[in-house]
Amino acid sequence: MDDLTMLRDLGRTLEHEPPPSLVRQRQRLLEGARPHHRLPRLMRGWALIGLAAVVTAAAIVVPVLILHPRSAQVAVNQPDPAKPIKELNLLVLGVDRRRPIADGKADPEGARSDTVMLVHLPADRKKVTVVSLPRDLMVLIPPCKGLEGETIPTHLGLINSAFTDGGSSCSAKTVESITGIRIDHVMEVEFGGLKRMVDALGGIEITLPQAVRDRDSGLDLPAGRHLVQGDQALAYVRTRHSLGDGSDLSRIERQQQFLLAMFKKVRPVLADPIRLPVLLHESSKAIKISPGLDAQAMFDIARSLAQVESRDIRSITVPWRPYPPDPNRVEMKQPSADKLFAGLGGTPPKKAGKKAR
Amino acid sequence: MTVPTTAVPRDSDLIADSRTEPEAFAVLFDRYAGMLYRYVSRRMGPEIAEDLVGETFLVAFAGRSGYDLSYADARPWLFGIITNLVSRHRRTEAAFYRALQRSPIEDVAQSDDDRVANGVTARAARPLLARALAGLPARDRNVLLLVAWSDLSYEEVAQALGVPIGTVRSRLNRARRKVRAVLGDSNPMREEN
Repeated sequence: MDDLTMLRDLGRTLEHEPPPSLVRQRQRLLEGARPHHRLPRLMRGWALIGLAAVVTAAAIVVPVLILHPRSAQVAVNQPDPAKPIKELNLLVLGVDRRRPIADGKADPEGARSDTVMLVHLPADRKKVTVVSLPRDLMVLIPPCKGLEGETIPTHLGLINSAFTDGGSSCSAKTVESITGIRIDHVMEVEFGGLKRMVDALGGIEITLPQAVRDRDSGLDLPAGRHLVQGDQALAYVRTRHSLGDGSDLSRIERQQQFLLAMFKKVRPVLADPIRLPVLLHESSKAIKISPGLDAQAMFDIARSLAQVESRDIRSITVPWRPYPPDPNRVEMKQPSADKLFAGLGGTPPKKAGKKAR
Repeated sequence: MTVPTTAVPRDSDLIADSRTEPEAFAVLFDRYAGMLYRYVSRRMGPEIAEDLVGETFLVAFAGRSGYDLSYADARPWLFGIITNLVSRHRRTEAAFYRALQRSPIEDVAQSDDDRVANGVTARAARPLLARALAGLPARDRNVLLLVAWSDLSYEEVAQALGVPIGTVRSRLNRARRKVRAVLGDSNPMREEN
């Protein structure tokens, strides 16, 4: 067989049939045939925002645009009368509703908050701080209402168990009690929804330093750069045994990188009249905000963030150290953790530093 | 038998029409989007192919006033545009070939029963071919893959890339020599001009 024939054979094995979604590109062409709209300034501003924006962009801007697809453009063009901007603290929970199969103990809801992030937006909106709280963090969970209405007393437990016990309100209460920071809104981002968002974006590019085969998460990829879609993307942010040092902490880093990659991917979509609605639709299904925000409130937040640039975003993990009774868990390192929270306007209770010891 | 030209407008007619009626350009999309998608899915994988096809038509549309209407067939033009766009994604293409060198066949392409006979040889040669392609300079690879994976003639490839036909021939020969070198000397060499 000569080389051209072999090459043609290779080509045939690599070829894919055009998917039905190719029709979107036709729409794009027809849209492109019309005069261009300038990208609203709000959106261009977003292009510069980093991680926190991913969280907030997805959670805030997106629902606004769904509610009022044209409102962003209109509102940006007419500057709002100076409205007082308040400090805002958002708790972002990455929620996993898979039912654990291998887990020994029963898990009635099968819902866990594997990612816990506190997003602090000061009143001047000059800096944004994102504090990740490892899910293996041992904390004192305050009394919460259980899912069946029962009262769960104060106890020492993993931070993510608060969500399993009493849902997002219990998570918020716990974070408020350990940080002394008042939480204004909780955003639950479903991993399953994340998957659909990634698909709507056409996949996210990741780089693997080595080949990964992880049974737990179902990730099976060779080393190198990959464009991951739905399930693989989900596996990538979930896996922890086969990447990094196997800890939740290295996973947090990976999630942060992933969200950043995702945000980069969102940028061109914001300007794409065909793909944007698809993304918006998926995002709205993936995110739940409580207490809810009305369209104006969400828009105001989004607008107040439009000037924030990526260098103004600080993304950190709460200072931690191994938890002596169990090396697989961690606890907050004091006094640096309290110092961090105090810097964000919190008043951590004195005993907070001692309870997990 | 010749098909009356009035029944099916030529590509150049559509392009001419689109200068006053932009919608006419969509017919060109319907004709060639699938073809371009298949081509670019071979070079870059399916994930990015869709977007590149969309971009190709946007670029083509924007440049429609400069199209030489004496060329009835728009395929070389479109292949030329998509080749340029592929060059902008050199890293993605390189990563795609790297993945090909490692991954088993099932990961990348859907298996197809009636191709199994050919597939066996292709499978064995696949990592080598991928390595050879990855090692080629982009200009040589563009010629080689347009010749091998599109239905364009040498002349049309020359038109697509905006180079003389002699350049197409010399780049093709150089590229094939390198591919054969990577494949090893086990294959009978057949020079083809």
